[in-house]
Amino acid sequence: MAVEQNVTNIITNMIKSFFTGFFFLTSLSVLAQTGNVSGTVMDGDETIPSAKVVLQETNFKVLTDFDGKFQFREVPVGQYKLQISSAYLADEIIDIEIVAGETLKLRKIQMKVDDLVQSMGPVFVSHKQKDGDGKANKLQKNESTIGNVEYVGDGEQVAYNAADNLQKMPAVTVRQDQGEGRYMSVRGTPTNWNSTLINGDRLPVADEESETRTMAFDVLSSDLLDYIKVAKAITPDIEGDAIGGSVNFITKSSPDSNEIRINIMSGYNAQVQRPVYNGNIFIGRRSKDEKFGFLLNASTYVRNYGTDNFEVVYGSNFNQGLNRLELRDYTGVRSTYSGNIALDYTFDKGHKLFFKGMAGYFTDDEWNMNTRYNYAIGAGSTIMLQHIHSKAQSLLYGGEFGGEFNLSKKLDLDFKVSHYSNRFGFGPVPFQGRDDRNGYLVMNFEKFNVQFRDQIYLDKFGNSYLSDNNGNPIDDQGNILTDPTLELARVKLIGDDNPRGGDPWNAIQPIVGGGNEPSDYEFSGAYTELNETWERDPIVANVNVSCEPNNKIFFKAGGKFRNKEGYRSLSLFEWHQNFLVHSDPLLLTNYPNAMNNYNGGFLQELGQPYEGQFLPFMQRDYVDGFIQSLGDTLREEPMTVAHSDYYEFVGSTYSYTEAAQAGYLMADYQLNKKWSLIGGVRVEATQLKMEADTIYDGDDDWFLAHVYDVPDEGYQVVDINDDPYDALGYDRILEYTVGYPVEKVQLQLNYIAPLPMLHVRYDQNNNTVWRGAITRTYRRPNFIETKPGSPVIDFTNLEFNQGNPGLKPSFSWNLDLSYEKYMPNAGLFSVGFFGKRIEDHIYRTITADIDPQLGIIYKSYQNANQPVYVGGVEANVKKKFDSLGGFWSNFGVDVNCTYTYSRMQIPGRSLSQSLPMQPALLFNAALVFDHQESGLKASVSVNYTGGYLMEINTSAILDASEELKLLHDNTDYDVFMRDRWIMNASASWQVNKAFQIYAEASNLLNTPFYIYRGQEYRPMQVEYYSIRATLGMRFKF
Amino acid sequence: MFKKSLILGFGAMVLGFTGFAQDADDEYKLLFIGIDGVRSDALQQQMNNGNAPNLKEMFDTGLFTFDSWHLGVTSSGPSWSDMLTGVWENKHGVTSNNYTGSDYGTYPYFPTRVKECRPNAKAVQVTSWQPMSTNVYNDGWDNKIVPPTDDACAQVAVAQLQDVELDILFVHIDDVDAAGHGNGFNPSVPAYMNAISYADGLVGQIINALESRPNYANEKWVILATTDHGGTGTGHGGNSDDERHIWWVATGYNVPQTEITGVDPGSYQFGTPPTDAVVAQVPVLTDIAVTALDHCLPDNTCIENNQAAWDLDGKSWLEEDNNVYVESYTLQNEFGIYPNPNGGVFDIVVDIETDETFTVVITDITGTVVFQSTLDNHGTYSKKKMDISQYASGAYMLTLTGQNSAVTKKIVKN
Repeated sequence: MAVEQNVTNIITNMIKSFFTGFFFLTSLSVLAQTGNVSGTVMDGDETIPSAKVVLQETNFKVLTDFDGKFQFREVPVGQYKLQISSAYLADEIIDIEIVAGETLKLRKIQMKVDDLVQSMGPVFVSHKQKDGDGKANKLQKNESTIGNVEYVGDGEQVAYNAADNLQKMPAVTVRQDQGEGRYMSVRGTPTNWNSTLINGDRLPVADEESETRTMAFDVLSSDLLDYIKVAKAITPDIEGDAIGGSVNFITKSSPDSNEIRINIMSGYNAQVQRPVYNGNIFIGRRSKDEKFGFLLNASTYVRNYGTDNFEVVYGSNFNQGLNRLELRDYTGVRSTYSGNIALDYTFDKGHKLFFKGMAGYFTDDEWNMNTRYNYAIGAGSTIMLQHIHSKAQSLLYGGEFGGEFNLSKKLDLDFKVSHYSNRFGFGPVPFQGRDDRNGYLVMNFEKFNVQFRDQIYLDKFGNSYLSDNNGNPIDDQGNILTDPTLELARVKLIGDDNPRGGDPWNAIQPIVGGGNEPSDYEFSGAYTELNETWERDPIVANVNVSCEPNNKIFFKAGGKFRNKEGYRSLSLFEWHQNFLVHSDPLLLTNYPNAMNNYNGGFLQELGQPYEGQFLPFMQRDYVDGFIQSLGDTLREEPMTVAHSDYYEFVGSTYSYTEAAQAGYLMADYQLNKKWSLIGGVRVEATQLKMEADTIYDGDDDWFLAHVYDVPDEGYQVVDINDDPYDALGYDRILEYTVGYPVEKVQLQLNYIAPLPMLHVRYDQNNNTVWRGAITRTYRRPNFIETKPGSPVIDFTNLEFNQGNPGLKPSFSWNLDLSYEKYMPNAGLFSVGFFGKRIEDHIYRTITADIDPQLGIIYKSYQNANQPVYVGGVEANVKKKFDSLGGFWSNFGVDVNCTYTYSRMQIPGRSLSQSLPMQPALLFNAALVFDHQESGLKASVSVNYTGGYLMEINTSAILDASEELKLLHDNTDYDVFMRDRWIMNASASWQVNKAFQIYAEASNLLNTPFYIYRGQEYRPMQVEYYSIRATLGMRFKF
Repeated sequence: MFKKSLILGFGAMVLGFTGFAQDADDEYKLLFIGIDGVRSDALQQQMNNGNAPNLKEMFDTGLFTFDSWHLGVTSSGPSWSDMLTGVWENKHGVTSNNYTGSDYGTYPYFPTRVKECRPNAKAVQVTSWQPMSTNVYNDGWDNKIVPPTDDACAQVAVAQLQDVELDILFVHIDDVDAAGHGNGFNPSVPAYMNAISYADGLVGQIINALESRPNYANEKWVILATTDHGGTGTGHGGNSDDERHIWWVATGYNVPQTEITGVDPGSYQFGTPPTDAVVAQVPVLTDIAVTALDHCLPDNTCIENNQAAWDLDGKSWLEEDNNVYVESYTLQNEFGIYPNPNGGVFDIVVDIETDETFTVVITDITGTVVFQSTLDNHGTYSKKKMDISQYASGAYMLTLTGQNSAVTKKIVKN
């Protein structure tokens, strides 16, 4: 694997990247006779970022950029020794000669591991140190800021979803959906506090919920990525909407040489007992004169998945009775197709132009066969067999065009103009092709008049009673209780809530009186949830100027401008039985039906508590066509003004535009060999305009109305006393209905965020670094959080989401301190402290379950009226057991943990509590095996995310003194996430230079995703994803 | 159509009922107010506390019971179907709010039946509960209006009552049920009790509108009000007493002022038709449609001609041969028995305009006279306390004779 060191021809100048801001330069007086030197530092095939490059006997000193490149300009002519050092590699010293007016280009300077004899001239490296750890470690050591870097490289990581790569990084947690990473968080801070960037820009967000500004990663394959950079404390040149931290995904750029890589993987998902596939092809080319390079990268990732889930909805604010129990068997196929292209051209003068384009198309064909026990449907209890099918489709595409220019010897300029677009919608279910009625299909067969036998009566004192056969409450002697002052409530209680001993959380058993047969189930309606969501950034423009008046100080200034526009519309299309045509029940048993395949047993992790209770569902291949097959036996009910629920959907369509401008100025000052400072200020201005419909003045301002179908105008709602259409004889769709004055409301929210920042770095010695930072950051409210007008409805989950146009952005002061000790062979020990003080923290409230008949939950958002405090300590140890010698020296560990203490005072509660969405403890540990002689690598990692509070129940009632008072002073009606362990294992074998085999098994512990209400025995959502195993191979030419 | 009606109505007043087609007995009109999910004990308490004055006035002046027992599925679809068709679930077929299995073709809503005898009758339904509008057919409504809120329902009802052509109006008020579901069906729950008071206010608005009809004095209105079920905890649909124990009240033309009490005939839930003797004596849901028909079709021939075809299960509160419910439409005078049913001791009261003397004779099945007396004249009414408590239980015949008329009733002593 010898690679020849290339020392090639002189070129006029060299590429500078965005990371020039972190260069350290020492002063040097400018001489008339100067030349330049540039090069790329390599470790085998990998470039080494942040290696220290020094011209001995001078003050020229620089760190290589992310692509391993460095450059010295205006070096006095003469002979020098160029010394290159990096964290665990031997120093490399090269003799060079600077010629006046020319640039010495050093191609591919090879580093080698430090246990080999250091040599001059052509360097032979016995084996590649190709792991991301080493590279990341080097980067981290040399960074001025506090953060971490994860190197993704040429598909080096086994994870396919970009978020899954993040999971391995210290202090990073990933929130999951169906077992796949979706949103990331630094140090466990709320997702909304964190900023996810692609090449330095926030991407537009459009997904099914679209409740956040943070992009869901489903659509993004890690094949697109070069590396991921996490900044825990940001610098002024990073977007400031990042209280928790910032994660920057850098997409691949064209390589330095011609390359073809092919990756083929297949796997198995144990939950669904079906396969997983991934394929990727990468083609990189560079022209002979090395000025032009491009890459083409195409990737497909198709995976079957399955989830066993049960959900419980609690119906009341006054007791913990169950409203419903749902047993959901999810199966589906997710497919990601993505591609990217990168071009760059370097001009003679060193100016460079580049283009990067990317597209990701994501589909999720999801089935959910849901058995739903409705305890508290008003008119008698029912059991539903819900057939839920959807084909979600997301398309993200965009690109950026930019250039880098050396304006003068001391002045560099780069610019970038980007365009990105993201769109979400539902595909062809239940109808083929494009159809306005297609959406998230829910088709219900239902058994009515169910008598549940697992309910008890509770009186207002908490005493419990059983019931007789007719459901009357009886005392222990069997007498029917008739005293209304007891305020008896008939409820299903579980766990310790039930004084007579309730079902444990893992076996909540509905007891159905009078039998439960498939023939009891009749069609009770179908609907599709319609969802059109898009967001795009038509123009994002970045300009940065950097200036180095001398080698001790470095200025950087820049500006950013972004226009964003978005639209979202949720609606409903219903089908009901048309009783004028057919009044007999449409029985499930009259259609093709079969027992659902529970793929190894439903909740087999809990011992299959519902085995034998399941009923058949309609056969899947019949579900989509069912509606069409019934013809006029069903009547259609679109969500028009003629629909009785129309006004509940009024707020579910909205649009917005947001303009943001940012400018910053920062200086990087090297006081002396040990101390350096980065200081500066960033100012961001945001102008948000949102438009949505509202029912003016709420419930009181209604009028009696007729609804007409007016030609060319559509449905019109007119006051019966002011009816222009009556005389014209148009068709009335509805008479004497209620109209509400629906008005468009606009929100205009402008705010300016001045964000001063100061970073200090102290190099105690070559291997010990202290860092400190004080930064100010903020968080823009999410669009749904400030949405004016009527609430947005989440129909299937029976939630209303009421925006709060009065929300202010949150601002945070952040203090970060860290100590890092670097050890040979990628060893690292670090501890850190961080503290945050957040003003106007935005938190989610629930005024839950006012009506247990429907189980509707109202959610809204508030600014905390007192500052929120978050403080934490974190530690990270990376160590190879090289001191053990022999076989054991191939092992290493990487352990990190973060403990966070947070306090928030909820208005109206007597005690403060921990911050919602903030786990106290995060822990990652990996045991790594790396046998370089055989090319064998393996690792086992565990990941722990502590439990946390998710939502605060702020339901309030008027007390005796007519003051609004929170119903719940404690957290017993709040929503929590339980802690979770995840364990993954992976192994790879580099058979030869071109061929690698790898394997991964994830979610080995199969611990549940577990959300509960107040107490752990009160589950709300429990999901098992089971183990996923994959086997793959890579070819590289 | 609404505007047109107003104009016609105005014209009709001026021209004296010549503006539109009319049936005989067109002046017999019915308002049926259904309030969803009001427990009997809760209503009683609210009325006693003065928090439901409009319903209280109906109870004070009409025929009422707090002792009706729901015999079917205590959910709205089956309950309102019982009431509006006059037959039980085994016939109309609706056993859930899904409304499947309905046979309104054979057993329609009572307005369809009214129209068989009075083809020009006009009937309107106002409810905020969509399924009762879209899932029901052959219901005879000229218009089914679904305003989304109770407030709107009341306002629409008020507007409809200005239509002089209107003969039958059914208004459904839903929010008491919602309050029960949200907070508990219980007299101790303020939100539930407040919802009853609020509904009472809407009843007041509707009755005011009724009484403000221009031709009200010449119309013969009966107002029925009832509920479909009670509730326990925050639900209903089950078979417990609190879910099944309901009330109803009737006032208006020729309706006596009396209370009816009854024992629980037991549960008949899920389709078994209630047939036993107790059901024939106590107020039940199917009585509503039959009573409504009885009032709207005062000429009994049409009902009698259709008796087999209609196959009704309920009984009229106004029907003359019913032992429990006594009405004096063959007399010119108001006539009542209080209380009714009774333990053998009761008052007979007859309203009188002239100085008229009434005699009462009670005979057993064999014709043997067991009681005979003359009513005491109190100026505007005649009254006599009867006592047959010493006689055996069973059926007796009561004959009341005035100067120009006589009527015979069957009474049952329990």
